[in-house]
Amino acid sequence: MTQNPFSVLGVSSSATEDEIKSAYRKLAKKYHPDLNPGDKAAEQKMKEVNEAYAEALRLKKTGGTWQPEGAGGYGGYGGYGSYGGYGSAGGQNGYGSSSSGWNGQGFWGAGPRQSQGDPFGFGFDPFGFGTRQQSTRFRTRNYANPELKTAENHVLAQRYHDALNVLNRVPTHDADWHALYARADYALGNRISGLNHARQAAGMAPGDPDYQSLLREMEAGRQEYRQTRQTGYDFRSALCGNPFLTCCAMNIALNCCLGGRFMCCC
Amino acid sequence: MSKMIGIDLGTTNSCVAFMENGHATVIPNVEGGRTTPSVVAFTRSGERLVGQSAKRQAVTNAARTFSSVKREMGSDKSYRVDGKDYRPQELSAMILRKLKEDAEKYIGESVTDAVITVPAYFTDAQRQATKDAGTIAGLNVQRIINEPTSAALAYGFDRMDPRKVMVYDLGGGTFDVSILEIGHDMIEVIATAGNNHLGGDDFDQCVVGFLLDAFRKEHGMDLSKDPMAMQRLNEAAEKAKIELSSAKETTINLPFLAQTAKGPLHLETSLTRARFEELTAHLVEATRGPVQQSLQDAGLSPGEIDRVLLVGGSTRIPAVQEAVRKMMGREPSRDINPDECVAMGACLQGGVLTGAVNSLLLIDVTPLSLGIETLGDNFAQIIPRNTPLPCHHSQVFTTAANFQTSVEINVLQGERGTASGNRSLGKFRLDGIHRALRGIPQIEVTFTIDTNGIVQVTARDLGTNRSQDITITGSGNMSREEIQRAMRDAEMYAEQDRLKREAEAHHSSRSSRRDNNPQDDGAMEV
Repeated sequence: MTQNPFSVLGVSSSATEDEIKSAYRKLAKKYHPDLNPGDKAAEQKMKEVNEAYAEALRLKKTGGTWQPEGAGGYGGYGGYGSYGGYGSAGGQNGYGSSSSGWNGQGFWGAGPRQSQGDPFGFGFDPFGFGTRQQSTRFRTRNYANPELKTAENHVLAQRYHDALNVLNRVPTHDADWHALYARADYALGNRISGLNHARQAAGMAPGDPDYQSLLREMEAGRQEYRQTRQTGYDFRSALCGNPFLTCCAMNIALNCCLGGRFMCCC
Repeated sequence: MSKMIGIDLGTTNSCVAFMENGHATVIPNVEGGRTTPSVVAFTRSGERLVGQSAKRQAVTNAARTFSSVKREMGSDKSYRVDGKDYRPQELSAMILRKLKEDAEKYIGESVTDAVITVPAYFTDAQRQATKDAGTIAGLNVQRIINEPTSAALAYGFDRMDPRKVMVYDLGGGTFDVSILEIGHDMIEVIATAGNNHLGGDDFDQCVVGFLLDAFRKEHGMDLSKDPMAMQRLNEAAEKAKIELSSAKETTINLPFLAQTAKGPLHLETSLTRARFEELTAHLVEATRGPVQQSLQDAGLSPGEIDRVLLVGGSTRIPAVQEAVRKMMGREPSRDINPDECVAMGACLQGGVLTGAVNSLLLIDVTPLSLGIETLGDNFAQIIPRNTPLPCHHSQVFTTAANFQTSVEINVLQGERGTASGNRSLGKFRLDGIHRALRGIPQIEVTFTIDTNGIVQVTARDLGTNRSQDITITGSGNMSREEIQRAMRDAEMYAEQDRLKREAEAHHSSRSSRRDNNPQDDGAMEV
């Protein structure tokens, strides 16, 4: 969505849920195709209004704020169909005609995995076209419990609250569970709790390179956060509220650690 | 303009209604029943029977009688009769055609437009199949609407004080729960959940299992391979179930159920309501999940629901009512007719579309999330469930490999995290992408769900501005040519049937008239 959902509905971003609903109802009565048979323009408008309504309610429920596309540092294009969690799938669709292997990036993959030499699934994009996001850093896994797969998909689509909801319903807390919880919690700004879960995951699966690197990144992210504060630039809110910047920060940290093998493109 | 009818195409029974002087009115069929059994049969003499007459002869013609076809809508199943294959759409079309003809007789003018209902939890393929069935039957399907929504519309039409309503719809083959907000001249669906394969038929099957066991214990013989015996058991099971809604105990008496060298075998047993409830407890329990999910999606607690409406014949089962009472902590409302309200709501929606009903707007939602497959059997959600309709979402994609010129997209519907766990609406291939380094081409893919809940996909290459309309056809759906051929077939059969009926009418008008049309017993959808 390229438009601010609140302005589509004609309300301010501080409007209450009831105000949003009432604005929506007025617009629906004006534009719904049932009341405007054959009017393509009205139908188009109704689709926009419905999309804005769903998004505005979602933002109200999750406490998020709307950001124009590309504002999150989407590399060169900035139009990759993502705002908040709703369309964020745009950044991570690994389409493939070959379904084998994994490919954590936002591309239609026709061939083999393209990011060789990238043990953490970072999937850098040398051209800076910036479809990748923080959420795509981890390879997707095969989980015994389908609920965990659902949670992972929520994480990949940046619906972190949904991911936590799903995870809270899962009774057994294994390494996979902790790792997913860590990713969702950390992305929501609960960094201490996220870090604790990452520690648990890494502790429970000492032989799993992904979970070890997850923990390292989160620890590295914390250092980076301290440093940026010292420089006087207020990253605090940006880091918590913006996963892309978090990603950036962590990328930089990792680049330092590993000799700059990775490129930051978000 | 011709009259618009509203059709509830049920798994076991169907119902049709129209707007008469501003009120929704149920149209009785020519046999006199207010609902018509969704049964189609082909007799040995090549005649086609639909409704009560088909149901009545099912025992003697089990292999050529088809019921619960709705359960196969949208699948690639076909039914073979006399060397010809019939798709579920075509058999459903025969039921629709009968309803249409009965409506025409009742109203006294031709009917071409219809609103047809489907379970809210129907997938895109099942909706498309229902729409195609209408087309084959010679109807312009103006809208596909969801059954629980339709019921709420019938309920809320003249009660427009603001309230939140839950519709618990347990029909012959499907189960839906919807939560709606009925406001001033507007009905808004907030959340929908359900199970496409849970209904009265499953309760019947539990009783059939019980009867098979009883017979096996008594005579040491397995009847499950005997189609005629099974047909009789099915009928007896349904009858017993219905009786147990009012009685505490019922007897099942099936003489001459099987034949052995020693002579005929009979089945006589009794079934108490308590035993029936034991046999079907898992089915009642299975309705709990969708109820909870809909409440959670709506962000409401049971106490915040003002009314619970019971729809579908299976909600007459006392254990079902008790389960709803426990889950919702309140007495469910009984002020709507569970068999007729869906068709009545459909014709009200028809009235909205023709302008006959003013100041009423229904806003439904998509019951299932829409997404695409990504590598690693992932399901990437694009439009989340419970998004109001119509809606669309565009996303820009790029290529993964250098000089890649085509991509394949698998469109999925469902709530599971894995692609394989969800239902594929079909795959489409996008060719002719400009040769470029990976990441350069920009392809905007737009997913649209219209007010019927039917999905459309379009793709546009932003580089060349070339757009491509893509129709996704799942394996269970019919192509345009197939639909047209089926339409021609259906019209041909209808003409044959008409000639046959006229010949019979001619014959009977000359002979003395003995029987008045036997009144149908008002079969209920269970």
